Amino acid sequence: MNDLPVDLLHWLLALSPIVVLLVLLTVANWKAPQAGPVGMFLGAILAVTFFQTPLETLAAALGAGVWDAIFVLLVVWPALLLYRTTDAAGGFVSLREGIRRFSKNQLFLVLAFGWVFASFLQGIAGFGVPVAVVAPLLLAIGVKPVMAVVIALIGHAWANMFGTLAVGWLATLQVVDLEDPTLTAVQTALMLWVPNLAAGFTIAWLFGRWSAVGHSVPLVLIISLIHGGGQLALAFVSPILSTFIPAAIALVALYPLSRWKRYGERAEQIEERPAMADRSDQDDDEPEPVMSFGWSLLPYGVLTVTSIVVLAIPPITQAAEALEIGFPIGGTTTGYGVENEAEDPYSPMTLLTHPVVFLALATAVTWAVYRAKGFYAAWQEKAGPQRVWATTAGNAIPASVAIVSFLVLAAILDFSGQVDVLALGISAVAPAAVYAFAANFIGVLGAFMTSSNTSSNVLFSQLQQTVAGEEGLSESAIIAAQSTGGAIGNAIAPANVVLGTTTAGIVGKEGEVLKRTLPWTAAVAVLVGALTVVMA
Amino acid sequence: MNTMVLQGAALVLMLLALPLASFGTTSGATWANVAAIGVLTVGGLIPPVLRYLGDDEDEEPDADERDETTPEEEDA
Repeated sequence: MNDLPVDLLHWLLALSPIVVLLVLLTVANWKAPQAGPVGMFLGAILAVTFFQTPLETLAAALGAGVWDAIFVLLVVWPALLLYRTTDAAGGFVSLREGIRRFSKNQLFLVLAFGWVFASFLQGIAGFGVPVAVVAPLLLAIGVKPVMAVVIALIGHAWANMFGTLAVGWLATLQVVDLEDPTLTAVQTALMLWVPNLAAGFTIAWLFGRWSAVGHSVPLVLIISLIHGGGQLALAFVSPILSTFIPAAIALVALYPLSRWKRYGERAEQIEERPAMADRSDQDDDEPEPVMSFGWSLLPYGVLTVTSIVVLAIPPITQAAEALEIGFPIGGTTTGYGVENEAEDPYSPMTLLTHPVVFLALATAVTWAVYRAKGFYAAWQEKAGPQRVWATTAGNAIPASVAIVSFLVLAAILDFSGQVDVLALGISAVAPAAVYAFAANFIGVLGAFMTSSNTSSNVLFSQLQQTVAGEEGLSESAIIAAQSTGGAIGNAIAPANVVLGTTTAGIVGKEGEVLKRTLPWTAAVAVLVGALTVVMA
Repeated sequence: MNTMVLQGAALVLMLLALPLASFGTTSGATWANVAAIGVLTVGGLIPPVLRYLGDDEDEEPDADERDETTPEEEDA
C-alpha cells in the first residue's frame, strides 16, 4: 500500500498535464510535437514538487516512456515508408482508378476502407497499423486528409480490445484474477458492440450527414452484425480469435454487398458530402496510372498475408516470439511509497511478431516488384521526380518527437502515482451507480495517456476490480467497461492521432482531428456507461 | 540550421535518454540518471522553442495544400 494524497488538490494537479495537452492541441492549435513536450515537462515538474518523486524514479519513468514510444515509432517509420514507396510508383492513383470500377458508391468505399478494412487490420496487426495504413487509402479515394484520419481512428477503435489476437485481453488476465473470465469476455464483447455500431453510423454521417446514414442502414447493420455479433458469439469459446475471425468475414462480405445495386452504383440522393474533397480539377491534371489495380494492391496483400502467417499459425508465432529485446529498468519508489518493480528487460519486445516486420517486408517486396516491373521509371516520367526517403523523414521526425513526449508523460504519471490519484479520486467520491457509469471513462483515460488498450487495462484493471468489490458491483461488468473504455479511448489517443496525421501528410492538424473524435468518444462512453449501470 | 535538422536532433536526444536511464537506474549511477533527464529536457525543449523563434514552417516537405475545411466551415 502507498500513502498517496487522494484529495481534490492533488487530483486536479494530476489531471492538469492531460488538460494542458488537450487545450494546447484543440484550443490553441499547437502542433503535437510542440504541445507534447509541454505536457511532459508539466507532468515531470508536478511529479517532483507535489508527488515526492525522486530523481531516480523520474529517470526510470523517462526510460520506460521512451521504450514504450519505440513500439509505436516502429510502426510510424515503416508505415510511412510503405506509403511513400507505393506512392512513388503511382500506386495510389492506380488504386483509386481500380476502386472506382469496383464500386461507384463513395459511401460504400469509405465504410469499406475506414471501418471494415481498418477493423480487419486491427484484428490481426494492431499497434496503430490500421490508422497508419488506412488514412492514406482513404485519401486515395478522395476523402479529405483530416476526415481520413478521423474515420480511421473511429473505425478501428472497437477492435482494440480483442484485436491483435486479443493481446489486451491476455494482458488483463495476467494482471487480475477474474472470478468468471468467460462472463467478463462476453460482457466486454457486448459493450464493444456499441462503439462498433456507432462507428459505422458515425462514418456514414461524417460522409454525407443524415441522407448518408439512411442510405447506409442495411450495410452498417449487416457489417455490425458480423463484427459485433460474431465477436459476442466467439467470446464464449475463443476470445483470442473473437475480433480477427468476424473482421475477416466482414471483409469477405464486402464483395457480395458491392454487387448489390444499392452499393455498387452512385448514391445520387446524397448531395452533401463534407468528408470528400472536390477532385474534379485534380483529375484533369493527374497522369494516367502506370500499373493495374491488382498491382496497386500488392503492399496490402503482402502485409495481410505475412501478418496472418506469423500471428495466426501457432508454431510460427511461438518461434517468432522466442526473440525478445529490451532494456532493463531499475526498481524505484516515491516519497509516498509508490513502488515500481525492477524489470530486466522492461516490457520486452518480441521483434519478429511486431508489425515493423510485416510493414518492412511489405515495403521491400513492393519496392522490388515495382522496380522490376518498371513502375517507378514510368511514373517518374509522367509525374516528375519522387523523393521517398526525404519525405518519409520529413513527416516521421516531428511525429516521433510528439509520440516520445506523449508516452514519457504517460510513464511519469504512472511511476509518480499521479495515475493512481486520478483513479482513486473518482472511486473515493462516486457512489456505486456513478462509479459503474464512470468505469469506462477511466479506461478511456488510460488509453488516452498510453495510446494502448492493453496498457490502459494493465494500469487500471486491478483498481477497477478492487473498487467493484468494495462497492458491491459486478466485477465482470466493471472490467468489461474498463476494457471498452480502453478501446474507444484509442480514437483520441494523441500518439494514434499523430500516426494518422503523419501518414496523411497533415502533421500539425492534430487539434482538428481531436475536435471531431473527442465528441464521438464522449458520446460512446456515455452510452457504454449507461449499459454498465444496467449490467453492474 | 533548419527546422528539420533541429527536430531530428531533438528526437536523437530524447531517444538517448533510454540507455542512460537504463544504466543509471540499474547501476545506481546518479550521473547517468541526471544525464538522462538532461538530454530529454534539452531534446524536449527544442520543438516548443522553435515555435517561438518563428522557425515553424510545415514539417512535411511535400505536403500538398489539400482541400480542407474547419468544422465551423463545414457546419456552415
